[in-house]
Amino acid sequence: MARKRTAKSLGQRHDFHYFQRWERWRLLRAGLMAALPALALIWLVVYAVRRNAEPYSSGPLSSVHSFTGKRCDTCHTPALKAGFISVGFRKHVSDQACLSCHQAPAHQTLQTFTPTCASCHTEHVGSQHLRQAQDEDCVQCHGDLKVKSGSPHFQTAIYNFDAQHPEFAPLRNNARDPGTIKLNHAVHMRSGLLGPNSQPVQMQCQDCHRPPAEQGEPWKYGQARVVEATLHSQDPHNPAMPAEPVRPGTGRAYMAAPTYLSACQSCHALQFDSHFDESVPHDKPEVVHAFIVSRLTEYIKKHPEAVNEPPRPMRIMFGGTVSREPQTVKIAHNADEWIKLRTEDAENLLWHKTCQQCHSLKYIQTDQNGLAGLPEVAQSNIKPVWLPNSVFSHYAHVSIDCKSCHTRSLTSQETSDVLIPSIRTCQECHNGEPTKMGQAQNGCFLCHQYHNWKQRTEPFTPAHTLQELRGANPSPSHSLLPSQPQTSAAGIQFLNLSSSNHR
Amino acid sequence: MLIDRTHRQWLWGSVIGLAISVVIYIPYAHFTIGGARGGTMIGILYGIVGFGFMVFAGLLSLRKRFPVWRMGRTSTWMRGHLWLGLISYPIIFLHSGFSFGKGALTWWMMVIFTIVIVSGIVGAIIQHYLPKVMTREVPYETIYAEIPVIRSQLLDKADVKVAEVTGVSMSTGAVTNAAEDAGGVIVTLVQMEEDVRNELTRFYDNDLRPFLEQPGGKGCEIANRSLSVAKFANLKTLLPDEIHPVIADLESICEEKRQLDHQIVLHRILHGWLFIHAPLSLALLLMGAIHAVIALTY
Repeated sequence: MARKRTAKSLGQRHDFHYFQRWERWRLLRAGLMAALPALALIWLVVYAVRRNAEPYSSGPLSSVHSFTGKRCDTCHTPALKAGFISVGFRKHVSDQACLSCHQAPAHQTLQTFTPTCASCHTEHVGSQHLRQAQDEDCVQCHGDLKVKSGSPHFQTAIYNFDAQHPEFAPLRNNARDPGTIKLNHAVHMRSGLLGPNSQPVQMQCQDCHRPPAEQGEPWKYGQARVVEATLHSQDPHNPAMPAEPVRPGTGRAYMAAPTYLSACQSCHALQFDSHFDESVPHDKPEVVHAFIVSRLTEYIKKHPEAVNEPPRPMRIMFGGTVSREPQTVKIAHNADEWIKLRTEDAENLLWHKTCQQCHSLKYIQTDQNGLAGLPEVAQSNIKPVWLPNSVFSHYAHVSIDCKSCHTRSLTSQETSDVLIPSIRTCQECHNGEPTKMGQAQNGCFLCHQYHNWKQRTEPFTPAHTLQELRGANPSPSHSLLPSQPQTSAAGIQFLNLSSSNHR
Repeated sequence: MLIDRTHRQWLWGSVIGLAISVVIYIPYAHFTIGGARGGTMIGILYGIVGFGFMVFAGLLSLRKRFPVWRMGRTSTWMRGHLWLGLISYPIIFLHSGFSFGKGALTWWMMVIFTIVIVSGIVGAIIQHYLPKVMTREVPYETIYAEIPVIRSQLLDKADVKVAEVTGVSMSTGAVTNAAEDAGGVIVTLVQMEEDVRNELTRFYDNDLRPFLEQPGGKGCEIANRSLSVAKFANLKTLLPDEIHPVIADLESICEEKRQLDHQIVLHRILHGWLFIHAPLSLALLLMGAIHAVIALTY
């Protein structure tokens, strides 16, 4: 009998409860449907049990905060608290959490709003330094700068460094160097300049200009034995830089003001009398005066016959150097008179010639007897930092020849010339993103700081213990956090935590 | 599901929705300090919309489990599943600011989401083309879950057919059943020479029965249609005409078994991607919900 396929015969073949059976594929799929979500859940539960919130992190922490890594609550605190009870669902990082560890002096008292810490210091982006705020953070105000009252003191429309940043203020305003030390860069950089022992020399920038960290190295035109004294000098005109931990760039950001002892002494000796091979100390006129009198007194005690020495028509310094100054022809009759005459002679040389080569002496006072008093030396007013609202590191630019940036240093003849490079010099390299070939970073943060650290208060009282931060107590006591905005001794309020923020 | 003209509205709706999202995104990303990211107000909105689409897409399986629910036609849900699920992927990228996720949870979510979307697209393409192939190549298509049962029935039927000719039962149970159906008498319908009977028995034992017994017919020559046709033609040449109807029935049984095997292969292709798509989708929804709660909290 031939095989027939009718609807009835086909229908009879089937078990109509087939869908109630769990055949292999259906079982497998159901198993996977349960297993994979369960696996995901188990993964998260395991981390939760270990009190490790790593899977939920929106990105790796910066290295400086990585020690808090698995304890989100160190920074993420409930927005509101009613006594000990947390109120509210959200646990955003509040400024209070940041300020419990960090100082953050305000930017400007006249700023129209204060951004939150986290809006500029972006966390959870890995190794990028927290300091690297984005230009947009700055431009939101400085693109159209407004202040609470009065008019802004700064450029009001700055968008980026490439094109819209104004020229550096000293150059923009044609400022003059207020320094009073007479220095002709062009002369000093000239080839064949007569150096010590009348030997021709070619001076280099670093012969005089060095960062504090390199002050201890031998000076080509100074005296090594006085370097130690230089470093610990209490000279108010050339204050010594504070000691810092040794790192490659420590003490190498800015150039220290050149000092006489380290840079000038070999060529510009302060000889005062032909009887002595030593120079007067490079110090206040009172000290110099006392030094001269002391040396002459000692000399005449040892050589009383010197009183009868005939006066010399021309001053011959120790070693044979002949001064062109005409010699005062006065004859001493005793030792005191000899000391007085020689002192007057030496000081005449110093005040009217030697010192005045570099210094501006205000005037020479006269005493009641009409005798010349000691001069007053003008403050040197050397400006160590020309752009006080920014930071710069010479160390970061150590591979670049000084003159390629300070182009005017070879031709400048006046002390009043401002020799800092123009912004265009910086823009030649700092013209974009560092990831692009041939471009150096030019973000605002590279040179500017938001926080006005001059307003920092010391000492800072931290709100955490080491044990807290190490996780001994996983929930740090934020009751320690300042409940009121901190106020510095100078009355400058730190970040206004209670103010409404734009973002 | 066939992706045809009925999808046009969904297609345009999705394209327009996505275009609007992108148009909003451009100024948002440009002017937002720190760039577009999930934590901003607009970023959160993108996240809500994207996750909403994902949830809707996920609800399709629930809708299928309760076909009597009066909540729109299943085909409409399927279209929504396809298109909203598809655009949820770019919208989630708009939500994250085109980041693939910085934390472990979000990274894994994006990996799983990508697998879900790719498997879904592959599945949609398969579901579009393969049913036509199935209709064309498997006229004997049956309910997939019943294939083992049908295969067993085919084997029994073949045993009976052979027993009818040779008088030798390969499956006592099947022949007994057939005999009971025939009134309790086992009858050898055709008287034949010993050689002929042996030839049929040898073919059945060595070629046909092993093929019918095992799913897939791997290693069996008659699993290949052309070889099978040749074998049966050869058998017909060797055996007398009286047996040819039986041989034709056996060939028909063989063809049905071959089609069932082919149906299994096609079915596994047609639904195999769901083994990836469905469980991962469920895991993704679970992780997405956790991510939403955590992200909004912190």
